[in-house]
Amino acid sequence: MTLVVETLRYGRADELLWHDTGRHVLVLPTGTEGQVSVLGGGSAALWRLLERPRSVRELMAHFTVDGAEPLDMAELVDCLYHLAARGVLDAGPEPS
Amino acid sequence: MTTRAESVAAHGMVARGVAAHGLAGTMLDFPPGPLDTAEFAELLLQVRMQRLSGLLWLAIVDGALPVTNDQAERAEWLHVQALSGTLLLERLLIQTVDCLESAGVPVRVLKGSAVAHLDYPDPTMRTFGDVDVLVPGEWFDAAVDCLDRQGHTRLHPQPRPGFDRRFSKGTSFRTTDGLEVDLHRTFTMGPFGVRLDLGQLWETSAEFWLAGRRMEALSQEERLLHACYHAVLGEMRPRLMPLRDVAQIALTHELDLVRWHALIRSSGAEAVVARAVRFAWSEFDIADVLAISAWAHAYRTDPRQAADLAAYGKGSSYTSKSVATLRALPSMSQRASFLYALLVPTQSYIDQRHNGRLDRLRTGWRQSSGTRRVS
Repeated sequence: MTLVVETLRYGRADELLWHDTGRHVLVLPTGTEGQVSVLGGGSAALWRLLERPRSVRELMAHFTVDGAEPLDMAELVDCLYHLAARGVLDAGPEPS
Repeated sequence: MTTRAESVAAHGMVARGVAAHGLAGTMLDFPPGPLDTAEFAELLLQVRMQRLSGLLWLAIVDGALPVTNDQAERAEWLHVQALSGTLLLERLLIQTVDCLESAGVPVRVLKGSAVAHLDYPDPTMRTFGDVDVLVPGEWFDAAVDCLDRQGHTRLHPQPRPGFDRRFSKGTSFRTTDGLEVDLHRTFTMGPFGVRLDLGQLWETSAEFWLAGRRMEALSQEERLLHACYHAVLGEMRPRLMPLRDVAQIALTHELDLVRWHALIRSSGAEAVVARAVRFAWSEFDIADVLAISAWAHAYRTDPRQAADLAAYGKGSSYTSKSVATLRALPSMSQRASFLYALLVPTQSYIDQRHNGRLDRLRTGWRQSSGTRRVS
């Protein structure tokens, strides 16, 4: 877990369809038969932050300092895993 | 206490207000306080039927339509459901365009997704219920083969081989998930579909992007023309979303009026456009006067186009439109081929559509005599 937090940046996958109602975000990968994911609350806020790739540390800073949606570290990592499992998130190494 | 009739009228007014929300120049307004439970349920029903969930949600978020917390929840959930369907359709659209383009078939995205992305400030304002694409007539059979290979089921057989690529509006397919792809050759069945200047539709295009994939749609003048056809040649009373498309495109873009008038003249579409624009301006109580709205209000329908419009009016049927199509076809050889296909269809067509040749004749007679009685 420490390794993930320290070294990876998370961003939206390339081939995605998504819409934002302002409260909920709906995401669908194009390359599979996957289902639509409906994100609300902290997950939706996380999605909006991932407009550009960010590390867990950056994301956590937002949620603890100026984030409107409360999300602790465990919930944030859960959200990231959930989105990655749905095929809508890419993870890459931090630029050196 | 309001009567049922007043109540229904009020619902209609609120639905019209929803359909017009965000439109420049509309004079429609919303009630000062939240609708009661029954009124709001009625509004949600209309919104669902007319695919207005994006505009309803926007009216609520903007604070234009006062609602209770519960009503806001229900409206957003309806919109989330509609957007879920939209995403699935957009994925199907990407797959469809990929399939057609890989077979070398030129393709333009029509209606829903194209209009949502090109004509509305936020595509979530415009949800839709199927995938519509246009292909040239000479590529129609190849496009059908493509969609067959995708495993989709063709919903409407053609009377004889080659009929659809020469004469029909197009055909439809259903996917194994129950989604629908409409493959168009022209905008509509009947005389306005025959006279449409198909060549001009392919001269230019507009692009938009879906999931990093470039899509080609019609240019704005052609999109407006299609919106007009869709609005007034489909149903007796034009639906609100197609009318909104007409107003949205007309009010959003600076049309090339020389090109626009050349297009509607070469397509013999003046009566359709005038009717659609007048309906849109009236339904949404639009105060703004544009060149196109001034032209539409001044236009007097010529007798030939009035007769053509009648084929889409009350009592319209496949048979009445076929008769009108026959009159509109430009050459005797085309008329002969069209008539032959309808009078002597293949056995497989009859088996799929009717209970034998006699049943087919009865259906045709019933539809044509019904049309005569009405007119």
